[in-house]
Amino acid sequence: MTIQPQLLKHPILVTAREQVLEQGRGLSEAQLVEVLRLPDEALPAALDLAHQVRLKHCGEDVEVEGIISIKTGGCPEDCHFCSQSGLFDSPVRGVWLDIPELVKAAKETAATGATEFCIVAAVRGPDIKLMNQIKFAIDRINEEVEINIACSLGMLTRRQVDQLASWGVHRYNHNLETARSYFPQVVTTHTYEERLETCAMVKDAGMELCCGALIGMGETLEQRAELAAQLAALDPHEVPLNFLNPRPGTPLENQQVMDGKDALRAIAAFRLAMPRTVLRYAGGRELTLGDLGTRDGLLGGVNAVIVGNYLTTLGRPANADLNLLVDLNMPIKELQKTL
Amino acid sequence: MNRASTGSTTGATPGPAFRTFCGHCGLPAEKEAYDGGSTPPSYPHPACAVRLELEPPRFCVRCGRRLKVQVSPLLVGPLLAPRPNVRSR
Repeated sequence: MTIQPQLLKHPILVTAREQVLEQGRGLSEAQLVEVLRLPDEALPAALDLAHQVRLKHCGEDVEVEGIISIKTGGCPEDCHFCSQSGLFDSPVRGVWLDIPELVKAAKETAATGATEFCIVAAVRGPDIKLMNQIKFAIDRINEEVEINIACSLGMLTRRQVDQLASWGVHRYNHNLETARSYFPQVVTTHTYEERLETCAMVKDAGMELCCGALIGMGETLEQRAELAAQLAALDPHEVPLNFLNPRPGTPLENQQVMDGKDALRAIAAFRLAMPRTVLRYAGGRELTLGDLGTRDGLLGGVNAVIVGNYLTTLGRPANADLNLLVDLNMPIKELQKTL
Repeated sequence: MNRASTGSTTGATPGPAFRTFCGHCGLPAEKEAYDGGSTPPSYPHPACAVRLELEPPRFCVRCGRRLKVQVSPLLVGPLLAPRPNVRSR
């Protein structure tokens, strides 16, 4: 097979082609730094390679998901990017969603063709009241909607992990957010190790682990590569990739929105780090990449999207993304109940 | 100070009945003319208007107070929780 001339100018892309595309082995942290430092003229070749890796190792399907907050705001943690922390002067007020509204949202999400519905709560970890509500919500959704249910409820105990698994939660989201070396700059109320503990328990219990990243928080390129490598070591089923959308009232409210080309380089790098992972476009892409960038990412390694709105901010209209998938001839992944 | 000033809505030329507020930042809007209809128009600041394309309003355009907002995957606008009648404050 001939190698594209554009790749030959950049040895890391030649290496990535052999190592990731042909052998299915993700790039190392040092190699990822090289990808993140590629010049702009190499970006199309990097994205094309990442797209080939995605097609070969994941297939052409795109996984569509909707997310909703069952408990918004008032979180005791101090994640500096988050408008839902009760420790910051954010305009987001606390609100609970009732179960009928949750079921309605699940139905609407399923009607788009989405196969995943993630219930999120802004908490350090769930208490008994929240766990009971989650159980009730799962039962009601399962009665009325054909969709996989995922949860994101913060840090869990072993008992809670086992409960969620037994209730049919097939995937649990718990993000690393940033590199271990940068984490103390972003969160001080809990540790990186605590996050890793929940991630490990989720995998042990047989649930799929969804463990994501939030980039553009002031981390260096080296730390971005460190994060990708740390995620790869966890081997999550899914990695949602967020780009910082600076939220009013948070410590990061004045952080500059990251450059779109840097965001695309990160997409390519994350795919080259994790050739078989579901790599999902998550929050902030509208601000960082816009419509054209969204297309570039889907042709550069991304194989999953969050449809519609996020937890506290608005996304692209669902039809815009779904129509884009049609334009790109990318089929939506069909529902397969995993548990 | 009550941020919701009241004014006469009677007379040949309707004057500003309420001050209106920016739905994004909650500060007084740049335009204040409002004829007293049941739903005041939203006049966000230009920079705030850009932000409101990507996030729901967080402040009431009538009184400037923070709103409870529930965002759903496909809901275009937010659900606004009931709040007291500000004119009675």
